[in-house]
Amino acid sequence: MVAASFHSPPPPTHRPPPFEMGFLHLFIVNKSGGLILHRPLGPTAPKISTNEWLRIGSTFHSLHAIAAEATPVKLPGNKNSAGADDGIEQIEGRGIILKCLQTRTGIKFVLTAEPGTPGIDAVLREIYVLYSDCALKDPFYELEMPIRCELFTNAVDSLIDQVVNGGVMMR
Amino acid sequence: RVTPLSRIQHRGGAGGTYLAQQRQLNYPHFFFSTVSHLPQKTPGSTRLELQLVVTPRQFSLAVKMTVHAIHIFDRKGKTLFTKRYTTTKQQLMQDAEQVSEQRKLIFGMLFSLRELVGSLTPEGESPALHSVKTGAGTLHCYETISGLRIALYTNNNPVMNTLPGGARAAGGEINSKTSFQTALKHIYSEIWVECVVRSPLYRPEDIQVDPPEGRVKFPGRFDIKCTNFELKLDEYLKSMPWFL
Repeated sequence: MVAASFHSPPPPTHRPPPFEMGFLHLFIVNKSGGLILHRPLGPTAPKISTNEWLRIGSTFHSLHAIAAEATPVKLPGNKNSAGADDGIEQIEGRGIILKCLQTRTGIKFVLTAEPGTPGIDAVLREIYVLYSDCALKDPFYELEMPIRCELFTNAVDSLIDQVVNGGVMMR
Repeated sequence: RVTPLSRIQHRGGAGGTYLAQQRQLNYPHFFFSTVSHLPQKTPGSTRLELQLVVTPRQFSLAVKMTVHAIHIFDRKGKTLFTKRYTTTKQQLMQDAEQVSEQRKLIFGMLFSLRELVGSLTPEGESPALHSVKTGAGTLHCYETISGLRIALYTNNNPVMNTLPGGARAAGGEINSKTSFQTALKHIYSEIWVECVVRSPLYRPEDIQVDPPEGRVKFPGRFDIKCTNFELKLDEYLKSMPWFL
């Protein structure tokens, strides 16, 4: 007779996520199209020189608006549900997902990540909250200028760290 | 203020709770909630815990997508084929000049976006643009090695893919995306190549694009209308579960 012993299920452990999960870059474009922040968020992010970042920022700014112009059916008033100007919200390519959040003031927060990364929208909104908490409330920060607030960049780093490493529990 | 795809409620107070529900119908069985019940370490940072809940798919929604338009461009940017499936009042008022300007805009946008995505993609992946989503609609794109681009405009209604059983977790997400890629690939390989390229009248340098008003037929030019490409394309698109 085989004595089968059933143990109670082991407590949930932090297993590494089963899919490729990695944030690549964060960049923020001001309302005139100039880049005010760019930051790599993970080890797999490609290295991009500062000049190329500036080019990417302004290219994205124009394409964001052009995409809204080029669609056959436009939203009323060209404003999306959040009250901001319509434009690119998401781009998918092979091996990359790019999400953009445009605020009513015209600032675009753009996050790139590997496909399969969950919660990109939530992280993007959280970064917007961090921006308004750390950068906008900094008395020395000038609007539309490059962000040089250590508090903001540290907060972004720790947010990404929590999301990637500490926070995912599988049930 | 509720946005269609994500809803974040902040129940205030110190160490408040963020509830971020991402109800994308592409993978409805993902549920993310962030809970910060642990003491906060540094000001300006929230402790996030993401819970991944996988529930069995018990329902299927029959939300229809709408296909707005399809464009096919060659590698130089010339429009080879274009068709509108929904016309709005503003489009009827556009004349041929504006329409062709808009198409050039689309081609330029696809070209630049591909460069942009290429510079942002990590190493080890050959860059390709699959789709571009705006608030008004989504543009799905498929590019062949010869430079032919097929662009399909749809609206944003998420589609429940009709794949049986095993589309779970990350698989469901990937399948719903690649179903557009496979559809566009099918349009290229089974319909374009079969009807147009293999037509005995086909001349790649001399394709007659949609002529403006007052059809001027240049003798000797290859006209796509003389093949049954459009017929087959319409048949195929209408047979898709997500067509209008």
